[in-house]
Amino acid sequence: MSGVLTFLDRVGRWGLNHVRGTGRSGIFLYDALRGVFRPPRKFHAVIRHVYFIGTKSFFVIGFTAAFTGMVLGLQGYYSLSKFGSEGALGAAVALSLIRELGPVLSALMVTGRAGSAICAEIGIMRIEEQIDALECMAIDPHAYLVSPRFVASLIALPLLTAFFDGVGIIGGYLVGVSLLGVNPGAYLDGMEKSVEWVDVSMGIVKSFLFAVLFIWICTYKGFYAGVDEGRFGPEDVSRATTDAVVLSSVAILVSDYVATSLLL
Amino acid sequence: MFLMNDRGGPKVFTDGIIEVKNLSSGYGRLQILHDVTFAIPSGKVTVIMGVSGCGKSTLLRHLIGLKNTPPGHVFVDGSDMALFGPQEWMTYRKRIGVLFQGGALFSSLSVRDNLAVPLRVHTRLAETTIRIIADIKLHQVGLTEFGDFMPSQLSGGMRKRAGLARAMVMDPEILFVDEPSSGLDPITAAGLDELLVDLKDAMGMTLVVVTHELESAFRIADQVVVLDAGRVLAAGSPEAVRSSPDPRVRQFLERRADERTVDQERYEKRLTGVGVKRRA
Amino acid sequence: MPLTVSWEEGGSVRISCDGVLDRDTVPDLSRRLFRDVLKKRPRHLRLDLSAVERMDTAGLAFVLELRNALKSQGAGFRLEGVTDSIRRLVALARLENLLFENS
Repeated sequence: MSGVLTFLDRVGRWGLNHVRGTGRSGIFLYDALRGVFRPPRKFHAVIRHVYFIGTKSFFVIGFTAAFTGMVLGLQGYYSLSKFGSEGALGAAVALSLIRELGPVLSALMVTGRAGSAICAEIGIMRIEEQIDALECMAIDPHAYLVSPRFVASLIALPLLTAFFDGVGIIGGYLVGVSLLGVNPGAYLDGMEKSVEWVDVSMGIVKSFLFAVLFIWICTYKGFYAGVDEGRFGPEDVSRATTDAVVLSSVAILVSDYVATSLLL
Repeated sequence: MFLMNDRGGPKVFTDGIIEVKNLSSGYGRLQILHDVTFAIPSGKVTVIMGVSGCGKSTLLRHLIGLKNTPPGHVFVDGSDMALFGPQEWMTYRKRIGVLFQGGALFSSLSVRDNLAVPLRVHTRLAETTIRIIADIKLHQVGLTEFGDFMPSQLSGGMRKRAGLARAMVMDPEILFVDEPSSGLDPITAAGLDELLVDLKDAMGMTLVVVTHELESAFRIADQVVVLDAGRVLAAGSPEAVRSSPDPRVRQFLERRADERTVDQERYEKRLTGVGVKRRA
Repeated sequence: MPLTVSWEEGGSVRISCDGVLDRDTVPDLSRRLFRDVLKKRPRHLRLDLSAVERMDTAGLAFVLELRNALKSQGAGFRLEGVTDSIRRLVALARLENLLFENS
């Protein structure tokens, strides 16, 4: 009997915790977005965070993009040559990058590089009472800490995605044209003919969506690091950071499927 | 001033800027504060004393609004803190300054920029004026040369002093100070105590100091509140508390260790069980 | 916050403040003083604080800024009507030497 009760107790507590967490994260998102339009002024902070996210992720994105484009060139050439349509390689590479791989892989890379750093930074501010100090100075920590990072990620991630797409297309060109001998005119012409505005807009919408998701999860996890446990130690920050990266990655992949099915 | 204890029923100070009435509080099922009542008089130094884990920090978190207070227990200038809306919180928090235990400096900003944060957010002062204010405050805590340092380059005691400078930068009406002298050498600690008294005298500041250090407490206090296991053991002027006949106050003041007979029994029992199996 | 500026012969100026000299009033006050008075390069400035009801560290910083600006222009600066509470504020900030050097 008591075993059943303990079990029910656990299930109930688990359920309540998740309901509470969901509600709290929703309120957190609301506060962060509202904070964008409230004092303090955050122009400089936004620039600083765009720079931070950009520099943290620039090289890793370029590197990933180059190899993604190159492997797309290889694989695409192999598949297309079966139908004798190697000329469509440019279109295949560009479409896969712009519609799918560019937004998703950039978001995953930015989460791993900048998202984890942001989560850890805010988590440390939580455990060192810096967030409490802000509140006691009558400064809204959402508006001061979270909102500038939201705006910055909405600026930085689409730009990084565009950079990813560009480098990827060059990578595909290098492999397809220089290595495998596809006609350069056909590569570029096929790309130009087949990529339409809907493809580009799908990529843009996705990168904005992923930007909101990763920054929301990473700042939220940092902001509430150790709060539920009522103790504030370094291990709470490290756990929050791991959680944030895993949850962001899963959210990006799942929402990618949902967004694709809705936008098609 | 008078003495009160938990048996005689605590009396309430009437001239308090902040009044705490029958406050009980805790985390989950763990109760930390039991029926705490006292008042913080305006323009005086109130020292909240007690051993570690007696509930001083929890009490402080209520007073600065970092822990929710149920209605009817904490009053600021006669209005109930539990009924504060966002606007009232804003007003109240602009009136207070808080020094946290570790200093709580923003690690990404230099010491001077840390001091500038509230001024930049809440005022339209020019950067040059802000810089002068920050340097004045840094000089008062003895960190004249450290404005350009990052918090990570400072020692624990210096971080604490920088935190105090930041807490004073808006010239608050009420200054809350958590453990000002822990981790400081005796000379710096004495200097800090002197500064706190100067702030009260020159600016008419109300100070609330939470500490477990007796010497420093009696050096600066106008009023002492002794907490023990979440209850107010004694409150009143330093002289009255010092001459209290209450055995538990005496024990605290004379720094006698608890006689832990029960713990000793359990401890022995726990140890005598060890190794029994190995012999068999 | 009201501010009375009276120019005297030989380019000296006497300024008296009244009301509150704190972080809310200092921004406007200092803009006005620097624009209207310091640009005209006075030879000597006397600041009368006797009617100031309340002053905080921002007010103190403003007075010091004014003093520095005048010194750098080679002009004289003197505080007048220093009340006890202002004196205590100055003493707390250890600025007696700079602000009271020729009062």
